[in-house]
Amino acid sequence: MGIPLLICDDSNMARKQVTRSLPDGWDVDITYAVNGVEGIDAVRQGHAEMLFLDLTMPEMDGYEVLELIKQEAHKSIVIVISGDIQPEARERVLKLGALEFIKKPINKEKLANVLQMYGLI
Amino acid sequence: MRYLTPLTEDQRDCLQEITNVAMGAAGESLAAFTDTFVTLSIPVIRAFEPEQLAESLSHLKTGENVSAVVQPFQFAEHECFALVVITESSFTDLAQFTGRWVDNETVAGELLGDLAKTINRVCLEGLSDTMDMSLRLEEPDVIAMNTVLDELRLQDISGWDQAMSVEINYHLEDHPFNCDLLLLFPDLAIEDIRMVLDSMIDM
Repeated sequence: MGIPLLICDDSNMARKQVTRSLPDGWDVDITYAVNGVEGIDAVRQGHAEMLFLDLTMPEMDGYEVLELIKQEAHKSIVIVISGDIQPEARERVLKLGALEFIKKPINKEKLANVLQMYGLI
Repeated sequence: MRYLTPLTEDQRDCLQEITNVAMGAAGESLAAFTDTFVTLSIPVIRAFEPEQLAESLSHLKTGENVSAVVQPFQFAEHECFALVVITESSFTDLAQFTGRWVDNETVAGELLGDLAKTINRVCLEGLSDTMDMSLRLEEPDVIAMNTVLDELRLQDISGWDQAMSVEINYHLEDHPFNCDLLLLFPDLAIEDIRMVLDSMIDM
């Protein structure tokens, strides 16, 4: 079994883009969530040792997911992938416990850089 | 909430995601223009009826009067329109944030025009870059001041038949500021957009 990886984004296209951007041969066990409610459920069920998280989503947004992860003390490593490029958005998610913020659109190189920087691959 | 659109579900999802990224970049410009934090929401794509303009501005249904500025643009050689509509209480916010004293319609019009330029260019350039479609922006023009939302009309589109609107809402955190950017595409533009989206989906 690979590392439990949760990809949480309301857009099918965005979920595909993230999946295509994963490093080749990376041993992960992927779960998908289409909003924050599904996302936090999957975290609670242990599907998110790593979490790639969008911010603007219906039902529950990425900020709320981060708050719940913090409150419930889950150990997920969270990388936010969002189109909201305000410096303040980045600061807020880092303060809420996200490891890093990647600006959309995601690609292989951007993701590999972050994963390498934190020794995750 | 899902609305009727001239797109397939895959096309709609793809356009929504592209718009999401483009509006995020424009949101950063608006944040810099107003020195506040901009709250983004999910863009709404739907089939557009020229007689029911107010229906496409769902985020502005607060009962407040609105002001509007239209900026025509050529998207892949098709004449399209970017309509920026704000509620009256947004005006006070905007004047305050930008340090302007709005005491007559000329100054108010300039402020509206500057707001439109701030968000439209970045957003539309984002769309045209991602979709590899040509873009030419024209000058913005104020079409309504302190008007009832239901009475808002856009003369240029009265002859349109099938069309599509993309509603992008910008809200400033902890302020009443509420602004809709409505992108309007006529049927011929939709045909081109669908082809581009299909090629992106297949990538």
